[in-house]
Amino acid sequence: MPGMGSSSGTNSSPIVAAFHSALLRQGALIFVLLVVLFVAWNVFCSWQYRHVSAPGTTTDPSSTPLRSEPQARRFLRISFGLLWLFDGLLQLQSNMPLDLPGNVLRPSASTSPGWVQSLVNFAADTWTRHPTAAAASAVWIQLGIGALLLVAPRGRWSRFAGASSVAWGMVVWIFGEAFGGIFAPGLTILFGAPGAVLFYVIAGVLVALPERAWDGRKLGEIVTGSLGIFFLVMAALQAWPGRGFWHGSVHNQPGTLVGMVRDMASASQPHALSSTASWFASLDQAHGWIVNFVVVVLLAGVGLALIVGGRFLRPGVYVFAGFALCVWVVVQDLGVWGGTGTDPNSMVPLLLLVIGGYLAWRPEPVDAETTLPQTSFDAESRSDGVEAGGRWRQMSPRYSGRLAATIGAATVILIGAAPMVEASTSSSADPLLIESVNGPPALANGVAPAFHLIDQRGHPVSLADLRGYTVALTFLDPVCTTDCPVIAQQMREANQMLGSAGSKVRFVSIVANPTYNAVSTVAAFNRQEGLNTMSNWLFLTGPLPSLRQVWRAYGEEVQNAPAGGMAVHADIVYVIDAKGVTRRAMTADPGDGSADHQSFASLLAQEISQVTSS
Amino acid sequence: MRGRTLLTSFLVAGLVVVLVVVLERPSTPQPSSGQSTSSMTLPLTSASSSTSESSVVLAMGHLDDPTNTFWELFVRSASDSSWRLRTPPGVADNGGLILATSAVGSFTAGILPSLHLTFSPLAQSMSGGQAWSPGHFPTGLAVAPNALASASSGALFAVGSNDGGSLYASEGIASSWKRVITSRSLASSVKGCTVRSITAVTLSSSGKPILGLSCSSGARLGVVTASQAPPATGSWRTIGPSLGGDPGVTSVLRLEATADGITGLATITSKTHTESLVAVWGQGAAPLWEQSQRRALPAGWAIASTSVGPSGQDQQVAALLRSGAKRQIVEVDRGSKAWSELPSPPANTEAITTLASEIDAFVVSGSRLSIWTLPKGASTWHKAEGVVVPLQYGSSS
Repeated sequence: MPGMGSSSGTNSSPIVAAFHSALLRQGALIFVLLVVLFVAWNVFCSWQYRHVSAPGTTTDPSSTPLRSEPQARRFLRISFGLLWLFDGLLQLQSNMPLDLPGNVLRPSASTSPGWVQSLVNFAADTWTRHPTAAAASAVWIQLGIGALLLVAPRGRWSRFAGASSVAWGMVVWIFGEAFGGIFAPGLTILFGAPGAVLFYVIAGVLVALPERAWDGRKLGEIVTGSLGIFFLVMAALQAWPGRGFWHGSVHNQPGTLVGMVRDMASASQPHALSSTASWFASLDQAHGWIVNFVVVVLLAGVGLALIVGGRFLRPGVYVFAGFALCVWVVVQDLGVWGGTGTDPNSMVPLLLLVIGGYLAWRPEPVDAETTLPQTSFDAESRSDGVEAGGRWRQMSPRYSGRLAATIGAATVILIGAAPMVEASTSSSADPLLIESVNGPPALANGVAPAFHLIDQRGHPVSLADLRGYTVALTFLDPVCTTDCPVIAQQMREANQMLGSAGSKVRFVSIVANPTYNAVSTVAAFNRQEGLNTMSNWLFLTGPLPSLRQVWRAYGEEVQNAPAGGMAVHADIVYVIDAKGVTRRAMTADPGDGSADHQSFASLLAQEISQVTSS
Repeated sequence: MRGRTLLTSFLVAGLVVVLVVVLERPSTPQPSSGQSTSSMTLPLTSASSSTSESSVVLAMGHLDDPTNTFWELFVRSASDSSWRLRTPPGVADNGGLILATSAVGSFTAGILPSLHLTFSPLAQSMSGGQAWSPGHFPTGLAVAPNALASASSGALFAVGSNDGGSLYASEGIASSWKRVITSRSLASSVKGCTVRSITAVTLSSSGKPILGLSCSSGARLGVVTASQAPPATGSWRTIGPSLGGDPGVTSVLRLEATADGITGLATITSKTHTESLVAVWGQGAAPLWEQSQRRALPAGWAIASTSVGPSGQDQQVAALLRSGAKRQIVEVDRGSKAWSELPSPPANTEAITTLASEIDAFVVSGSRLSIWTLPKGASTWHKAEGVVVPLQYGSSS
């Protein structure tokens, strides 16, 4: 579950700096937009004041009695709005860009079926390829949803806020929480099942409902009844024999719950919290049966109370509040500790949902009927038939201010979502990833050493023959088992990224193996890597003395390793311009994983483009 | 009203039960990366001896980490009392190494693919492994100690790992390769053996390829030969010895041409899943076969290494068996045809080789190799030499 991972502590400063830079850039854009909206609002208010003050103009003070926003809806809207804001602030942690896929996303699906892992891996891969864009997007989307829920109390915009909460919540629940682990073994409410964000989704659905759905206590009955069934299911799962919750220890090994809590207690956090979790783990280890019995009875009791309703409902809510807070502190560790915390875990939103359901069930106080002017934000949503000019003239400053704030919040979501959408549809990766591994390309400005070799077809090729083309030159071992095939593939990918500009580029590799350097071996490597069809690919070789001369000229130290080791050489790519001048020297270590590889291809394509266009 | 309450209660209870049952029976988690377990692999660790020299191929390094496991070739000439490291240079051999020797004393080594490498680099030496010439086989060699054979003329035969094993031929180390026959084609033409795959290749004295096979059933051991020498191999016929009925699944582990004919070692897995070893010796163009008794492998034991000894009437075939940390050596000679168990080898023995007057055990501990000797008829092993091999840990990861 989110918040339960442990920090790898592998913050790479270029990535973190880029993350902060992206946040600042988008933040500046949002700030400018808000200033524009504020100015527009002021101008509008001035215009409206002049219009109202003009002789012969009368405002329409007529008021229609309108019921204020239902208490339960307001509670859910504001509380979940605050939760989204809190989650958005958690996304600001510096380790989010690099650690979220490995510490939160992939672990959440590790015990789930293959198809769930595939979904989560897609999200993790997308995040890994574009860590700064994705992390910054998550911040703004969540802050935007939170703000939108808070500033839009009624009407279409408010329902849109609920729908946004549902949409983003589903994305997080499926791709970030692996469906809250409901398809994995060991499901338990104590550790966040069925996923904290699912409760955000449910709250969003309720906020997005038409206002008439809140009339009477029907909606309250549905919510509390459904939650009651949910608690009964969780109680049954907790009590199910063979799932390990009845035993504090099995054959001197910690039981299921004890193991989970111990893991949680070992995460980095304030001592008071870890000692509380450790105390509970010890208690459960010693009295596992009693602890589980109490949990099962409480869950079943709350479930029955919510289903039966009536006079049992209020005590049921109180009991669950106590239970939820205890679990949140001693089992869920407040949700945010232990590295890459992304939300306060499930007990807080679940409790808010239970309270919201109770408020919806409870009859509204009689004095809730208030008289609001027709021009209120609330009324606007119902006034589709009002003549447009009249509506603008009759708008109150409060309403127009809220409208401006709502538009601002919605724009924050859009500004956040745009890079995320772009990242999820892009097959390339941020060049910054590989730069954080290898360092940035070194600028150079020297004449590239000449060579006279033969290509994979046996034709002679010299550097002079390549004048007029930008040359990406590297050294590869045709029988290499590790980096060289990957580098070759990334050069091919860079060529694809260049598109038609690739026709002005030659990708050249020179054999880096003192033993395996025959033309036939080079051709075998090309076949292995599917490079035969790449028209601008040249794999050059030649007699060993010629090769040694070229290696020396380019500073390549190539030698055989003893005892079954691979031939040793440096992974480097030179970008040589059309005049034969070396312009870039890039470390070509392809890094670990496909994201790094794609990042290398992106960086290479970027550098080639710059050299070609300069 | 009461009826409605009851109905609601039943519906709620039913819903709870359904949800609990659904959530309690989650799908089985899928491993993130699957590995096929169906393909048969033979122990590559192996040794061969002739009257002039002996060789052994074994794995060293961190044997539980494929990228830090390095396969090494050690050679000992008849005139030398020490084993020499002769691993071909220039290529990472973490995937495995196999060796073919020819009647004229040449060595041809094949490197098995690993990581991103999908074809097999080759190396040939006419100097007992001191200098090597490179070549390559266009696909991966089969994981079998006798997947490569070398003729006196320099012609090479290799079993590729594709299509259940296909036989390829080349005129020399630097020449191109041509496919001779696939195991599927063999299956339709060979009698007495239901062919599963080609597991070994060697050459007759006249240069015709002789193939060892794995057979899912059949009354004869899977050994076949071509009617003509390449490039026109003609038809293929079974020449393997009769096994007396259909004993079950048979696999030829070793098949080596010696001065006296052909020596082979095979496993027989009975229909009751009992595995046993049988050694065979053949002589002549349509070999007259001699068979050893069958040696049943104890339950839980597996073959770790094999050795084919020097020519002669006492030509030995031996196998190192392993069960966890335990080791056992069983040996059979052509004279007695009865298997015998040798004194327990030293701990961590990874390979054995049968020489004319002794058996050597190769004990691996990371990059350290200790060679222990058991003279013929003796009951205790003694350490003969120790070697530190300069392994390049981390070079393939």
